[in-house]
This record gives sequence, structure tokens and C-alpha cells, in this order.
Amino acid sequence: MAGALLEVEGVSVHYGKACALHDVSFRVEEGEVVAIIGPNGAGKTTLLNALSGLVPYRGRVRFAGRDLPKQPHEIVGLGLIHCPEGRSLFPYMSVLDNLLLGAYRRRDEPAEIERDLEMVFELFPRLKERQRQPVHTLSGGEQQMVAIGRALMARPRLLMLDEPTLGLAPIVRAHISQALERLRERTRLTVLLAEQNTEFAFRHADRLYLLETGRLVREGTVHELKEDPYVQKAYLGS
Amino acid sequence: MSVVVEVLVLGFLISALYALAALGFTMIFGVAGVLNLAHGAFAMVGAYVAIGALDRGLSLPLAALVAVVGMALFAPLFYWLIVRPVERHPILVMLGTLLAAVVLEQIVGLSFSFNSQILPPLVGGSFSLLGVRVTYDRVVASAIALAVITGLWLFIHKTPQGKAILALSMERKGAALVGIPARRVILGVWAISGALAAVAGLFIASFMGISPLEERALLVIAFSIVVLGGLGSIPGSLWAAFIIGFSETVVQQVAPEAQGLASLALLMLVLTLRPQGLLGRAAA
Repeated sequence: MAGALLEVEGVSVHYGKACALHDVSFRVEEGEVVAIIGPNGAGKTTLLNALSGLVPYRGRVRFAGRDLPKQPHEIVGLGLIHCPEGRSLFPYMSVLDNLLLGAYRRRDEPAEIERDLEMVFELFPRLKERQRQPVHTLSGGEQQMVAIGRALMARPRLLMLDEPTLGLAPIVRAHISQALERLRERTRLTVLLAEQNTEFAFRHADRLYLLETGRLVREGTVHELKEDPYVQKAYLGS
Repeated sequence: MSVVVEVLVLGFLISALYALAALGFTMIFGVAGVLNLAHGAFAMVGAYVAIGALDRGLSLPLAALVAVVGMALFAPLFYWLIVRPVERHPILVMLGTLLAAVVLEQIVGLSFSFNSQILPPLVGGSFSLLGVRVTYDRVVASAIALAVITGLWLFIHKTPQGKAILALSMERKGAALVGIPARRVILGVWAISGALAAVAGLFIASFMGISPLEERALLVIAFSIVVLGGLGSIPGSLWAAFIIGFSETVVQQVAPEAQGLASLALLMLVLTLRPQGLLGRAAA
């Protein structure tokens, strides 16, 4: 148990009087892909926003054995990187500038950053072709690739992906799915995935948590959750 | 012919000074969403810091340096004390900065005088260009203004710190998620804005003279340029500064009594056709 990369203990988030997250506890081990699944409005995005310092929370979060700092830029500095829902790209900057800003906190050699840029271009060749183009002129799928690429440029120890395939055409979804698989084969990237699409989550996750109206109600491996009668009835349509 | 040359030379100088006055104002709005109604006062105070330094026996270049550095320190302090506590309330920000501007007017007026003062020229002498007498001082001032604007452009587009400013002006959440420390960057932009205002104030004091109440006219010019160009847009402000600078110069030559009307007429025309300003909300 000791030494999980991310340990979340009793985290709650309130928006005014409304409770968006209630006493949520979970952990992510180094090298794992953990998915938080659940319906729209369950609190998945709120959870990731809390972990990246965008939303204040109560409770305790430890990352890489230390208490998580409160400011987003300090959290990014530790390698906990959030690729948000809606992407939050810099619309009037080029693809290249967006990707390079992903490495804003890095203080290692420029050659290392250059290498990661090549890795992102290899993963998404279309971004290499369009690197000079302003991001707001790209399609939704291409923008999602920029968002994932920008997060990778920070060289994350843990990558938090929020609904990476939301609103994308099936062919683009498949492309992003493949990229994620290739990425995991090559690096021991740890991922926390927030996903409404159970098919996508089951395909990529080692373990899953089910979040409903701000509470974690189930936890298990892909196999365990697929066999769970409640999950089957509510989410797998069988 | 000589009228055309006169308009070109004078128009360029006035436009470059207007651009200096407007750029800091638009950057603060672009990055922090703050309309700093004390921006004109920054320029005026900058000029008076130099006047005060000259009175104490400093040389002109040294006095100018004291003014620019002084305003680069004063502006972030001003933000911290006056704007930051009410940042979430745009009306309070406007009231607070406007009130602070009036207080600055009074402080400067009481410590110097409310009459207009003029800074001596940086260099003496003049030459003749196609029948028009051009002072070296104007040439040097135009060159410095152009160098400052070019330097700012290079800083914004070519350095990581500059790109962080652009990123913050486009997408706050995205900037936080790549690790840009918003507070620190915003303080830096206030410092730049204060320094630019001081440079503008120095040149205006040297060519047209300055009085404590003059800051209101400076604010109106900066405001018109920034609204014309599109709030928060740096290239928009540059375009607008040159459009307003040249049209005012032309009007001054052909109908001096209508001075000041040209920019307002242009502003009304553009805002009717394109309410978001020339270059909209695109910060780059």
C-alpha cells in the first residue's frame, strides 16, 4: 500500500451549498491506468479540477509521497498534468507554440524538450504537418491531439485525461485510442482517465472507480466491474 | 509638398507616442481584464518624476531612466494595493483607479504646480527635409519609440515570458494547466505597462508640455486607441495608434479648430460598423 503515486483521502468539494464531491478516496499506482467512470454531472471533472488546483477542496491528497501543493503551477511542476475537458488551448497561437508552452515549467535540456516534441509528432503526424497553423483553425479531433500533445510535453509523471474523445467522430476516436495504446507500450505512463464512455474506459483502464452524484460507489478491475450486476444494469445495457 | 512631408514626419512621431501610451493599457486589459483608468496618470507621474529629478540636478538621460524604472516599480505596487483587493468587481476597479488618478493629479499639482511644464529636448539642432525643418530631437524620439515598440513585440513573441503573457490573455485555465504562474506574470505586465506609460509621458512632456490635469487627455487618447483597435489586442492598438495619430495630424493641418474631433469621429464610425474594434479579441 505504501508508495502509491497518487493518494486521495476524503476529498470533498462544495460549490456554495451544493456538494459536488463527497468524501472521495482512491489511489493510483505508478504505471497504472485508472479510470473514473460515471454519468454526466457525477463530479468527474470537478475531481480532476480539484487535483490540478483549479478548485479548492477539503481532504488530503498526496502525490509522489508529498502533500499536494495548492497552486496549479506548483502542481504542474511536480508532474501532475491535467488535459482538461474543453481542451483550454491557446486559440490564436500556432500548434507548435501550444505544444512548446506545455513544457513551460521544464528546466531540463532543450534537446530533451526537442525529443519529446518529435515523440508527439510521431504519435500525431498530422500535428507536424500543421505545426505553423493557429489552433483555432483546426478540427475538433486535431485540437484534441494538440491538447494531449501539450500535456505530454510537460513530461507527466501522472497524466489526467478528461473525456479525451467527447464529441469526436468514431474514426478520430479510434485514432486517439491507438495513440494512447502506443504511448503506454513505449513509456510507463501513469494515467488517470475521467470518462463517460464506458467502452473507451474499459478498453484502456487497469482499474476503475464508479462515481455517482459526487460519491465513489464501486471500485474494481475491468473484469470485476463487468461482472457487477449493478454496473451491468446501469452502464452496460445488459 | 512640404505639407505632405510635415504631416508624414509629425504624424509618425505622434502616432508612435500614442502607441506607447496605449500599449500598456491594452496589455493590462488583455491579461488581467482590468481597465486601468489611472493609466494616463502613470504617464503624467512618470513625466513629473523626470522633472523632479532634473530639478535635483540629474542629467536628462539619467532623469528619464529614474522615471521609467520608478514607474516600472510603482505600477505593480499600485496593482497590489488598489486593484487586487477589488479585482473581481469591474465597477470597483474602475472607480478605484479613477479615484487614484485624481489623487495622483492633486499630489503632483500640489508638489509642483498645476501649470504646464516642458521637458528640455534630448538633443539640439535640426535639418531640412524637402523644405521642412525637422529637429534631431524628433528623429531621436521617433527612433526610441520605434525601438521600444519593436523590443516589446520581440519580447512578447520570441521569449517564453512573453508567450506566457500571450497565453494568459487567451486562455486563463489553459495557462494555469501548463504551469504559468498568473499572479507573477500579471505583476510583470503591470511593470511593463508602467514603464511604457513613463516613456510616453516623457516624450509628450518634451514635445507638447505636461500639466497634472493633462493625464485625463492622455487616458482618453489611450482609451480611444484601445477601443478602436480592439480591447486587449496589441497589433490592433498599433494600427489604431497610427490611424488616430495621422488623422489628427492631417486635421490639424487643414482645420486646426477641429482638432480632437477626428479621433472621436473615427471611433464612432468603427464602433458602428465593427463593435469589437478593428482586430476583435485576438490578443496576438
